[in-house]
Amino acid sequence: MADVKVKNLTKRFGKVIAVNKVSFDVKDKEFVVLLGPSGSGKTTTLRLIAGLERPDEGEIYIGGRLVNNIPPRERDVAMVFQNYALYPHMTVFDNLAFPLQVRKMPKKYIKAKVEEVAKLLKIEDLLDRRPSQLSGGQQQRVALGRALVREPKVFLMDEPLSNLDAKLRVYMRAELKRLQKELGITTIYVTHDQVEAMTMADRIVVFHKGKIQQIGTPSDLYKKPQNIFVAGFIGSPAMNFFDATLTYKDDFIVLDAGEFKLKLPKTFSSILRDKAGLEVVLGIRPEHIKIYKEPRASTVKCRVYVVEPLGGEMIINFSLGGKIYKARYPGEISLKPDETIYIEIPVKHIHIFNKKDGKAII
Amino acid sequence: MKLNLTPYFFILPALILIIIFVLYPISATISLSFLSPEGYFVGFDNYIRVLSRREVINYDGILKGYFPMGAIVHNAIWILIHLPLSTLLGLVLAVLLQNVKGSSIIKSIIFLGMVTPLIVGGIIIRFTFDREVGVVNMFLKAIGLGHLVRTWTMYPDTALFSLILGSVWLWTGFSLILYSAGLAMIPKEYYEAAKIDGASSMQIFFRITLPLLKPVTTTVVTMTLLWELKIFDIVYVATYGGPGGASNVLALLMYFLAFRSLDFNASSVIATLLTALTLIVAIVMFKYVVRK
Ligand SMILES: Nc1ncnc2c1ncn2[C@@H]1O[C@H](COP(=O)(O)OP(=O)(O)OP(=O)(O)O)[C@@H](O)[C@H]1O
Ligand SMILES: [Mg+2]
Repeated sequence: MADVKVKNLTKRFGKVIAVNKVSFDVKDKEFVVLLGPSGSGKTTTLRLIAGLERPDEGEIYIGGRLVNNIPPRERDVAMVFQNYALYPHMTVFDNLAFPLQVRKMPKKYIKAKVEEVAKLLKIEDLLDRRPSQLSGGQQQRVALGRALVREPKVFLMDEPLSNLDAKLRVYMRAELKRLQKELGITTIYVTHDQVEAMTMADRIVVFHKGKIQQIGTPSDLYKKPQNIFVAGFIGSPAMNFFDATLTYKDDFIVLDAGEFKLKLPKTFSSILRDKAGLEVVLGIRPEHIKIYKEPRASTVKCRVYVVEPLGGEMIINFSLGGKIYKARYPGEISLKPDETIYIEIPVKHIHIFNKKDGKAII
Repeated sequence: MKLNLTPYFFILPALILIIIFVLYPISATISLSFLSPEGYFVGFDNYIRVLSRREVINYDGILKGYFPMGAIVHNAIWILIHLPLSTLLGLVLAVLLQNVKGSSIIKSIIFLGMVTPLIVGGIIIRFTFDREVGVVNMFLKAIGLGHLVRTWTMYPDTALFSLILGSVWLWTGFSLILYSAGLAMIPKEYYEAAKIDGASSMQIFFRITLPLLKPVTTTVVTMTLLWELKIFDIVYVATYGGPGGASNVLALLMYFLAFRSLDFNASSVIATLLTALTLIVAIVMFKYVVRK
């Protein structure tokens, strides 16, 4: 068991800066997810930690030891690859035994250990099959088993669930999380699926264009995104954004979004003082928008674009000022396209970002 | 039930060609090996006659350790030395050159041996081992073994080995190219997974790379075996089977029997034996490939 520390890590491929001055800590026994869109440098970061790539700058510590110049085999990490990389010419047993065999462990110990892990992952019956004779889910378990069998200091996983069908993915998500907690192995998990990240992680590191955008617990990221990117990336459906300007009116601060104006409470004034005229972006999550069929005080009139029923709840797409936004409606409501509705944006749930640098103001 | 003949018309042209140019010559040769020169059936008489000739198997030479030992033995020695050497050399070079920049140039040069006509290859071998201009002798002089200098292909005890070594050079390109292609087909994740699993380079080679190259090895070994059995041109131009038959091989002996001794029946015996041997190799390989 060990903690992992990454300091100022930078990796370039020619002109591309795949990983740009990345620093984060993973505590012992912690489950940390590296989350980001395609090409944001998650895999590269993981491969740097595993020792499959050499950093151009920065340091990597595993269990307090600087491992920059230590080959993968001596880092005592285990990795689960996206396509599992099971050795096709070996049986499941040999695949599981391989990490122990190359370390010249006694045969008896290997057999016992492999059987123990196989039982844990419920693959005892598959031990003499080849990888090609297994289903995707079974292969995934074998790959997991191969990583587990050695009891490594750190678990590295690169989108291990992305090749499974939706149902199995949801099932394995929970299994994996339970297993990690049960075994208490420090885990760094890469995914571009924010639902996966939110449900599994102790903490999430959000990547974008090789840079870390924010580090925090799932609830931190959801409630207090530090910039527009994180706000838009976390949550499904994504947060709605409106361009707006900060204005003053009779001692109140008012957000002028063109189609509507939002009067902000006094509590915000200390933060927003001297910011009159600032171009900002107003963010509000779909689940926080209230929808009414009749106008009320401080509602905004808009038109239904399309309705997506999810059974139990609905995603209502509405158009306002020529753009489409989404709201989540708990329960059921009968709405037709082009019907007029009235939305309310509760001030306590809004986010305000500086339009220039995307940083959160509130 | 009416037999549908249409498909057979489509394969008819190819079938006719195969019958005229492949099946007929083979069956004619085989039947010739069981006939006397006058055309009477003589059973295995020709086989007994040919196999007891000292050009084919020279028991005295085998027992006392001098050449010629007989063409069959020479072919066997050829296989024993050339097969492991050219296969291994190709594999080792392919692995070494795998991630080297500009390795394709080196590979192309080695592969030149493959694309050179064997007649030319044979002449090059002759010069390579020549006393005056040969690179082998220059090398020997350079490392202080000048007293060994001679035209290696002209002595019974070294002629065959010279040819075999020369043919290793000609043929290594084959296994090199096949192994290079095979290596390129192995996804790099297997190596990475093995590295993280804790395997050393040696363990990775023997437990991952080599097993995954097994289909390539099968192909290389089979094709090499067939080539060695049929070897002819190099020997013909470099030594003409000499001196005194010391580097003679089955295919060349077959040629001599037919066109020097004009003993077509004896020549057919050798041809039949060669066909049988190559067929065995081909069938074993075919079975292996089909099973995969
Ligand atoms: N071996 C390489 N050679 C050149 N460029 C590379 C290499 N590996 C990654 N890159 C580049 O580095 C950047 C980050 O890639 P990386 O694989 O880390 O992204 P990722 O976040 O894992 O994306 P995905 O979700 O698609 O897997 C990309 O622009 C990619 O094109
Ligand atoms: Mg990736």
